[in-house]
Amino acid sequence: MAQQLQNITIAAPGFAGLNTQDSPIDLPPVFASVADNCIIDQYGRIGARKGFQLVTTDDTPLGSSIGIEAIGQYVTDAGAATVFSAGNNKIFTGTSTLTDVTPGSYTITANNWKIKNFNNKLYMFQKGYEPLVYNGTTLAKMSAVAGAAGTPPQANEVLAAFGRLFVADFSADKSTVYWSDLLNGTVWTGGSSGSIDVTTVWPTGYDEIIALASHNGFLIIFGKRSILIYSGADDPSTMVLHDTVNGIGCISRDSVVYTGQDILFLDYTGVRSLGRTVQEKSAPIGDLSKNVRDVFTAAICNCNNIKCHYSPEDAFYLVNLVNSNTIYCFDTRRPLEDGSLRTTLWRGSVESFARMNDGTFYIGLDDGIAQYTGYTDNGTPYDVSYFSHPLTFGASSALKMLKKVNLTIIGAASSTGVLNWGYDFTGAYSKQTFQLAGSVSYAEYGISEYNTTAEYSVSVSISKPRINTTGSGSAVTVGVEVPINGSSFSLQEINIHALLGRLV
Amino acid sequence: MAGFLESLAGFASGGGFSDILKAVGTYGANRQGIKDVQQAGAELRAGAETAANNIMSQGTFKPFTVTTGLSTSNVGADGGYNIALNPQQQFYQDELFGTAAGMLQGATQDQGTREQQVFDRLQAMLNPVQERERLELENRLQGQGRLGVRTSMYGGTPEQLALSKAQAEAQNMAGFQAMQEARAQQAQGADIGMNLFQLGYLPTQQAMASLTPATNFADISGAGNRQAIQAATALRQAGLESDVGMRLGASAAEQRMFDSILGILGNQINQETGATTQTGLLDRLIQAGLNKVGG
Repeated sequence: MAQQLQNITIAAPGFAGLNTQDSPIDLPPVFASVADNCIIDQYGRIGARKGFQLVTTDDTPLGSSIGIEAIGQYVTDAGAATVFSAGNNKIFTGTSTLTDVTPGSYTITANNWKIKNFNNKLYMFQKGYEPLVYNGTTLAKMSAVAGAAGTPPQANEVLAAFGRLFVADFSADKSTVYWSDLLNGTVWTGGSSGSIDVTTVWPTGYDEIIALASHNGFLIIFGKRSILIYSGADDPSTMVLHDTVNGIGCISRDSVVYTGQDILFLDYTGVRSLGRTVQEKSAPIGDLSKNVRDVFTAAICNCNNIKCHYSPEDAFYLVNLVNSNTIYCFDTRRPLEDGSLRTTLWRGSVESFARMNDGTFYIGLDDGIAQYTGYTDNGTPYDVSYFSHPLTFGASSALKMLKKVNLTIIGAASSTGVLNWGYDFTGAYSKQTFQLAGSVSYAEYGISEYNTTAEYSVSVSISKPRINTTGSGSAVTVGVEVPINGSSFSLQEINIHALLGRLV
Repeated sequence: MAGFLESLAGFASGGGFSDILKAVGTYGANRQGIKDVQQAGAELRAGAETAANNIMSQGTFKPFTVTTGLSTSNVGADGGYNIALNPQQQFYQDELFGTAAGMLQGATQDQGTREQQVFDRLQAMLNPVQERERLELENRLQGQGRLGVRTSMYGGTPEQLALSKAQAEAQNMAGFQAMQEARAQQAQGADIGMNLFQLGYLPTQQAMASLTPATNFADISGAGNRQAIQAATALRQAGLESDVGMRLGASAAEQRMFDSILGILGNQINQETGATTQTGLLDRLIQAGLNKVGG
């Protein structure tokens, strides 16, 4: 006897991001098992990330090095900006043309610079190196700057806050924070400069300073396994320990980012929010990456070079595991009900990130500086993949026979996508290509179209491919792979027409 | 020879031999008397001396000893005395002198050394308080997580600077007080030393005081001694005067004798008119001789 097809709709599939932590059987379809090169767009749909458009026109200065490993921006009081980058053991200015401004007789063997603007100067710090100072004209060693005093601290971490530079993490000293004189980052002795040794303060008894931050008038000192919060840091000589967090710390100097409301950082257990960490005192619910915890923590523990970035424009927090060509993207627009962030994954060899004063998002690649824009990787398409978790549609023991899968896809015009489906947790998927609608000339309001080809279409390219499917099983996994080549992509909906069969 | 005898006969007929005999007789008669007088004077003096010596020997000072419960004092023949305190008194005296010496030594000690000693003691009193304050501050800073703060302005924290400042000021005050105290102690030590020094002589003084009654008793024999001395002195003086008187008498007699002899020998002159009233022996001898020569 013929049965009526049942329609199973997966609205906004994967909009909750990846979940590799919970049992796939019980997971709702809003979670994805694979979300490569995806973001969660402004409408809450899983979509394609933007591309990396190379800005540098000549990568000769980079030689055979791994590329741009650090990017920063010098902004004057008048608003004039200069982009600084580091790679191939040199310091460059500019984006399209990399101009070597490395000070003479200054030998560089690593490019892990921390770049900060402070009081109309640019400061570059790296462990084991004398800091560099750019005064708007010349990049020079700190000791060569007029008015410099004291021994320039060869610190790995620098924070510009409360009218001073705070530095920490030295080769031979992991427990002392030094601060410069007021409004002068080249004076480290005399004046109101000073230091604090937190050896006796660590709640764990011993720890090493990894990063510094300032938030709500507090000076935050991140250790590997603990956090110290000092109040009154506008006068460091009288600042007082306000709070401590035991068991949670920061494993990467560059993972500390400011979101305006909070500070995100990377702990051994995953992405953490400082506000929630202080409030909850390292309770598990403060884990923002809990949906990918095991996979994520395994990845970061095996990585010794982590670069992070927060983009308020794109509302995501990126964690780049440089050596593994993997970037975890945590959407900060709307956290899930449990407070965790929606997670997707990017694939690509990226060395560094930086956000400019005007919101431009620069990326350091092996052949120069790229901008996060467009939908190709410097003209090369990249693939977006989405796979659901095994779906049982509420009848885990009933046989499901997929007959048709209808997709609603926004964007990716003229691309040829691939629908994947499989049964019973298999990894061997059945595949079927589908064609997406062609490119659309968007209608334009207020533009004279006299004697030209006028556009009358809607503003977006919408494709609704219908793909016939075969096979049967008790749990169904569907996936969509689409090459991104110049246009955006969002997966709006998946409608599965299936027959529910006998109990198995 | 015949001339000499004629001269001599002529001298003799002129009364010369009687003058010679008169002169010799005068000398002989007076000389013995003079010797007797001189002898008498000497004997009187010797006798007085002997008597004086006898008196002196009887009136010589006799040594004596005064013994009390505190001391024993021996007065010697030469007037010297030795005071020996009994062991207990000697002990007290030794103690007093020893302590006085110590006090005076302390009073004369180098000012800087004394000040340092006083300062060290003041610091020893202050140290526990300062240590408590330091520990309290240290604990407070540790509780505030600021124990490791080092600043160019304050060295450490402002509180540590304030504490160091306060402790330094206390130290300075202690140093000033030490200087004042050292001077005061020095003066006090000197006073005490002096008092003790004076007290140290008290046993001796008391011992000497005990001599006073004994001296009074001894003075009795002393008085006799003095009287003996006076008598002996008077005797010696009398003997001396006698001797002198006798000698003066003998000298006068001798003088008269020689005057007589000279009178015999010399011309007698009228004192008023200056005319020679009688030719002397010598003139006559000389005239005889001249007559002889003249032939």
